[in-house]
Amino acid sequence: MRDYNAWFRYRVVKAVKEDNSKLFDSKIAVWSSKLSYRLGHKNCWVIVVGGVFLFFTAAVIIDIPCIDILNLEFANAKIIIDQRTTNIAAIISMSLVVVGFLINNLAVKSPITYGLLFRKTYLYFTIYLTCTIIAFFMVVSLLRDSITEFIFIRAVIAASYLALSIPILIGFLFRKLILFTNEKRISNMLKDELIDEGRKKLRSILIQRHSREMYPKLFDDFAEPEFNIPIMNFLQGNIKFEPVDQMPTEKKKKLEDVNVWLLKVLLNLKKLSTEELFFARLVLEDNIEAENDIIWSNTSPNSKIFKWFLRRCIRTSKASKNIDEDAYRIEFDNKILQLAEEGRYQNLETTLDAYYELYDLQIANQK
Amino acid sequence: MNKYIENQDITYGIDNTIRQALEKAFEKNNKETFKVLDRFIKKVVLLSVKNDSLNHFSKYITVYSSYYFTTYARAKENAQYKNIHREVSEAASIHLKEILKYFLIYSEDDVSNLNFQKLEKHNQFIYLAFNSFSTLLYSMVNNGDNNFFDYAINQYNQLDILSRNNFDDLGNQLKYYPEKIENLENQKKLYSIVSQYQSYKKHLIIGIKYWTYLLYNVKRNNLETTLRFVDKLNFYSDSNDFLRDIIFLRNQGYKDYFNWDWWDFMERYDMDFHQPPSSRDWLTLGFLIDLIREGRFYFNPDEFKGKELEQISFLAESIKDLGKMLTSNYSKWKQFLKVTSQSDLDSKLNRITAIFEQFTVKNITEKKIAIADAPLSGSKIIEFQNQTGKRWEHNSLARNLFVKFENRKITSIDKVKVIGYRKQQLGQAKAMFIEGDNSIDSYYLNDYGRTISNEIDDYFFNILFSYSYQSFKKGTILQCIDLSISALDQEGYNADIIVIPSEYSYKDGEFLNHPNFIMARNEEKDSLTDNFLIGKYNDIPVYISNSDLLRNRLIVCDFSTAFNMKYAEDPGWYKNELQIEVSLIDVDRAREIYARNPSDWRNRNGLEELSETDALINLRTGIEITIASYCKFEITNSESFVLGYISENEDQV
Repeated sequence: MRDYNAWFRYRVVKAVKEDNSKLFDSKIAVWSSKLSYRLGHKNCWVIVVGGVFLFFTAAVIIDIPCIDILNLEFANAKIIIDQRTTNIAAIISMSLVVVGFLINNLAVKSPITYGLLFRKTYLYFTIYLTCTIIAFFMVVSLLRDSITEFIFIRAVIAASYLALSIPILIGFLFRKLILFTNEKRISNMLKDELIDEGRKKLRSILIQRHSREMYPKLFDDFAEPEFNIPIMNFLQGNIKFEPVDQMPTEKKKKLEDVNVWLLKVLLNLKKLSTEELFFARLVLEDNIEAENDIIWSNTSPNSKIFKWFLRRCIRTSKASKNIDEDAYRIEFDNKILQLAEEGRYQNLETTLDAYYELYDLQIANQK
Repeated sequence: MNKYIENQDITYGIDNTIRQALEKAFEKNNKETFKVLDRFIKKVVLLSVKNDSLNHFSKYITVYSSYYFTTYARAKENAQYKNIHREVSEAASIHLKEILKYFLIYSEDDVSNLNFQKLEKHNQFIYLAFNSFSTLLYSMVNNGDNNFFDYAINQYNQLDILSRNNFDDLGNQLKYYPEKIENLENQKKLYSIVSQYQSYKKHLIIGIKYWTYLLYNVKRNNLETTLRFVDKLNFYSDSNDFLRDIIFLRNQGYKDYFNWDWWDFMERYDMDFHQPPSSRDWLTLGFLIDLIREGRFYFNPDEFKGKELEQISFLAESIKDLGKMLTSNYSKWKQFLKVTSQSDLDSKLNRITAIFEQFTVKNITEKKIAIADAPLSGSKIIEFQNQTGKRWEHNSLARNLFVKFENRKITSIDKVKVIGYRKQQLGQAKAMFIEGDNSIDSYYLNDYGRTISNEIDDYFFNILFSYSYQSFKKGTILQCIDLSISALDQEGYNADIIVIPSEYSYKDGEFLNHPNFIMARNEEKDSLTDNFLIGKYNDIPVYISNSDLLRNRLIVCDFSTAFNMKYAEDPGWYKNELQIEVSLIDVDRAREIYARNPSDWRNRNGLEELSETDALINLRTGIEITIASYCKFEITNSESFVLGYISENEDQV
């Protein structure tokens, strides 16, 4: 959504893509991976519950063709709802037993593999969906005499449709779960994750490097003789903020993007009031301090309104200490040491292959 | 920040993991694991060579040299580990040899297209690989491990076969038939880059060989072991090239060439303040031992010039000292040096010393000839003129007073006195006025300006004091000044200036603190005379002079009427007044000077007499200097000045 030339990130990514296009996936790939991440995450219950609720309300209020087609008697609906609830409960309990059994027989038992398993099989999603549907069945069943027949019937039909998806999901779950009993497949999956993690970091490295070079060039356009923008450090000028090393990590923010057009407008405005202007050397994907004063001058301090506008120029995100960032590297390092200790050289060879691919990736893209 | 992003490398830290894994594999005595890791390392090394990634290459190439010494200790304690120790050590040398022989050769494209940058980058890879090999051999030598060493050195010697990296033909062409080569400059540069491979190869052997000599010297290895090592460490080199190599290697300290300055032969505990043996020392010792042992080197002084000769002179000095050490430890070294008796050793040492003596002589002679033949540097002469002139201008009270009061006039040169030096010879001083390697800085010459100005002042005061009509006023300085001023007043003149000896600028508190005396502040001093101004007494400026003639005397006068200065002028002189000239002594002039007193110039204070040519060359390393001021001071009115004599005791004169 910030994919046009006004934004700094777009420019930087375009520059990086010139040399290293293979590092960046197509838009579809990016979106689909984001979607699968959201759905596989342990907090996807929000989506699930919300989605199911919406579906129900939609079914009850508006005319959805798939629900309009079917006709159901009130008496039949009452029977169906009870039976469905029992069916689903039975299916899910059996499935969970089998799942538990299979998880017990995982080829590789480590926190990372469990996490991977849950994600790839959409286990959380399946369980949440099932539980939500059961819950809604129960609610509808509870309200059978308090709501109108029409609503009841429509609700039952909607619920039945949803219930159809459960066996499909469970089938998919088993399908994916079986793979995890095979050690080779697990290591392939881990390798893919490692490479993805590496690509992400490499993208970040390249973006930082290019943005470091490109950001000062934005101010070159303003090189009119009387307009001098030397590069300054934060210690001059009348900016007050806490010393950097005392700032706790939670308060630090990560710079995501800069709105170049707005920034230039503000630069021009500021130029009218002062000759000497300084700008902070911002780097994308790096920590940023003093977000309200990315340009300033020694002689005329920024007014509150101006600061507010400056803040609008940049987009930040919380610089959380992401423990998950290096998870796969650490996992592989430990694995190699463990395999060397145990002398299991065949597995060691496959693990080292993953590292070799990582080296390949780094060396191909480090220019 | 994330450490991978900080280092700009997503593979950061993998090499550490691999090293730890190797340790574990060795600990568990597991060959298969080792092989897997070894294969991985090789793959990564080759990948980095192919893609020019020096960073990753440097991380892994050093792992090979560690194979040997990490398994050595274990193998020594426990026979179980011998097998793996042997296997990994052999693997290390084989890998390094393969990499150096097949994968690190200069690409033919780069050579034919003269891609100097790429070739130089390639040299960095080659150096790292050789360095790793060097470390491997070094640890083997330190452990006195002949067997493994033999294997490794055999691998090393295979680097000669299949000489794809051998550009000796080009080298020979450049040396003997340079006219036949097209594009000579580029070919020279190319050769300087691609010959590095062979240089590294040779230097590595030299380093290891001379290190083994040191280990024998400090009794770390015994004679038999050392001899076995030395037998295997051969290199072939032209005598003069070998000497050049030694000079080069002795001066490599700051570049940490092959880490030689870190090589040590025993554990140093932290409590000892100590440094590893200096590479320069053991390289020189090794060189001397080789000279005596092998006796096949013939050095030709004519092939060396300039700075090389200087370095060789220093080398000669060190060799003399080391020779004494060898002589006094004859029994220890005799089998080594292949000498039959002490006198044999002595004669060999003398021969060597004589050869290097030639170099020293040639060095000095060459330097002198270079200086004698060099032209004078215009800029240095001008600088000298400016410096001297400035000193003269700032240090002459008399002349500056005349300038200030403007009572001087120009006259012709025959009517004035010459103060200074004309055409005076300054021996050995030409080096201060030439450009280039042989030039030196001229510090003491700057004093000429001050000397001249002091002489001018003395001349002036002399005229004053020898004037028969003198007037003396005696007393303390205060009394003296007052008396003199009133005396002048009586004659009807107003005192213009007062000149007092310099010690009175701090000596007499009564005078300095007198209300009529106002100290001059530094901000007020802006003209040349103000260098001498210390204040005003009754509004009369008071000047000081350092002249010896002015001791305990002072002058109070009406300067403009009392004195007159005549001086000669010339547009070529400094401020048109001071003649400063520097001229070299050319061959004819040298002959002239020599002819006046030949034996003097040939005498060398007890040493052998110089030949006429050498004496002439010595002469020509000097210059002729003229620094002269042409002026005359006169007293125009004897009544308008008063001389005072400062005495504590009024009776003294």
